[in-house]
Amino acid sequence: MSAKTQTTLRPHEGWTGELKTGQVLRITAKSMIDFNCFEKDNFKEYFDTARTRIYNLNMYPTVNHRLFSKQNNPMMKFIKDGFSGIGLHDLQSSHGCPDLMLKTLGTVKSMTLADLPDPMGLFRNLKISPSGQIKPSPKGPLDPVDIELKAEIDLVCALTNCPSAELSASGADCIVTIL
Amino acid sequence: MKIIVDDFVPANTGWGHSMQKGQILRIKAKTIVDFACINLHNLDERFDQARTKVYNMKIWISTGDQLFSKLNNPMMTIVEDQFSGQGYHDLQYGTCSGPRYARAKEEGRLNQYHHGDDIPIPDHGCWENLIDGFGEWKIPPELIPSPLNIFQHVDIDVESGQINHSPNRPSDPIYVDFQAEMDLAVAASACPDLAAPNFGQPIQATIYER
Repeated sequence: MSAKTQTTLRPHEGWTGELKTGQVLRITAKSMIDFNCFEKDNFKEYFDTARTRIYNLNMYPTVNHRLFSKQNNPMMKFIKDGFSGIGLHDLQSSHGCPDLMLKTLGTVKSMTLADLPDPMGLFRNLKISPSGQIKPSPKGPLDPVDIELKAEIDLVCALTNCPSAELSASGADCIVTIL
Repeated sequence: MKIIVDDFVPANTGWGHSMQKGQILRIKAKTIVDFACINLHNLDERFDQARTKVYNMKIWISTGDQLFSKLNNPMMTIVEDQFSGQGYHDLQYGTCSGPRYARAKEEGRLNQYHHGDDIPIPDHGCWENLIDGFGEWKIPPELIPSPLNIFQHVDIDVESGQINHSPNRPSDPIYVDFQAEMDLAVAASACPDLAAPNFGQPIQATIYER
């Protein structure tokens, strides 16, 4: 795979870009990343945490899981997870930095908080007890690791490098590469 | 108790009504009921699974817990939960739907509902029923909130994250009471519930004042 574009994000910066079917989005990071995606020409078709949980029958997204849309169609496939064995990605929470995500998406489409779909929280590592209690448990990787997501349709993707002290182990740069 | 409305809701249909702050909605059933609410005066303010889980800091809610909106405001409070101790209500599932069942059949996954691969699949489900339930307010399909799934007990392994359909349902109809914390449009779907021992059943929806 060859890199088509590569962008480095400082903490509290966002990124948005288009992926064509078959292209791979690599996210190299160690702190919390909120991720959303939309069908390129139809923002009514958006990544949906509930559809994704139930299609995969799992709360924690990882390799071989598929990201599903609100209208029940596959959007992306998780093909590499450098966080596996270290911690868990999250599909339970809202955005850590919603204003930053709205500002980031605003370069493509104006959106309000009410319409902002919930994200996949990469590296969030939310601990859930057997009784169902939720507790933030910041635990990023020591060094940046790669997440790779392969587009199954043409997409607009957006992410924020959102190192909230409460939720994430540390603030660090994030490298976004389209392959 | 002053009854405002008391409706029988046939299996695999939707129901909706407005209710005022302070009124109580009683949902009585023995199979899954997908439920959502919207601010009556601001249809952009909708029930939100994620806000509800994070506000209550738990993935299963019961008596004393509140349903929250995407805009971070309390919408309803659970004031009585007869399912407590028997099972949990669910905040992981989206709605079932005609396309969802068609995909499960196409992928050979109907047996995950405990009745084997040969069951007939409904041409519609809770998504379509909630669209009908909110019909008066014309909520677009893509903006129907992922619901609170009442009486949908789900087996979850919190270590691996694995989710499994469970047939655990009330043996007889029981109820959950929700008090409105703002004026609301509410909608419920009597789920076709392919995982229940005898599939989806009718439900009763009652709005009352104390």
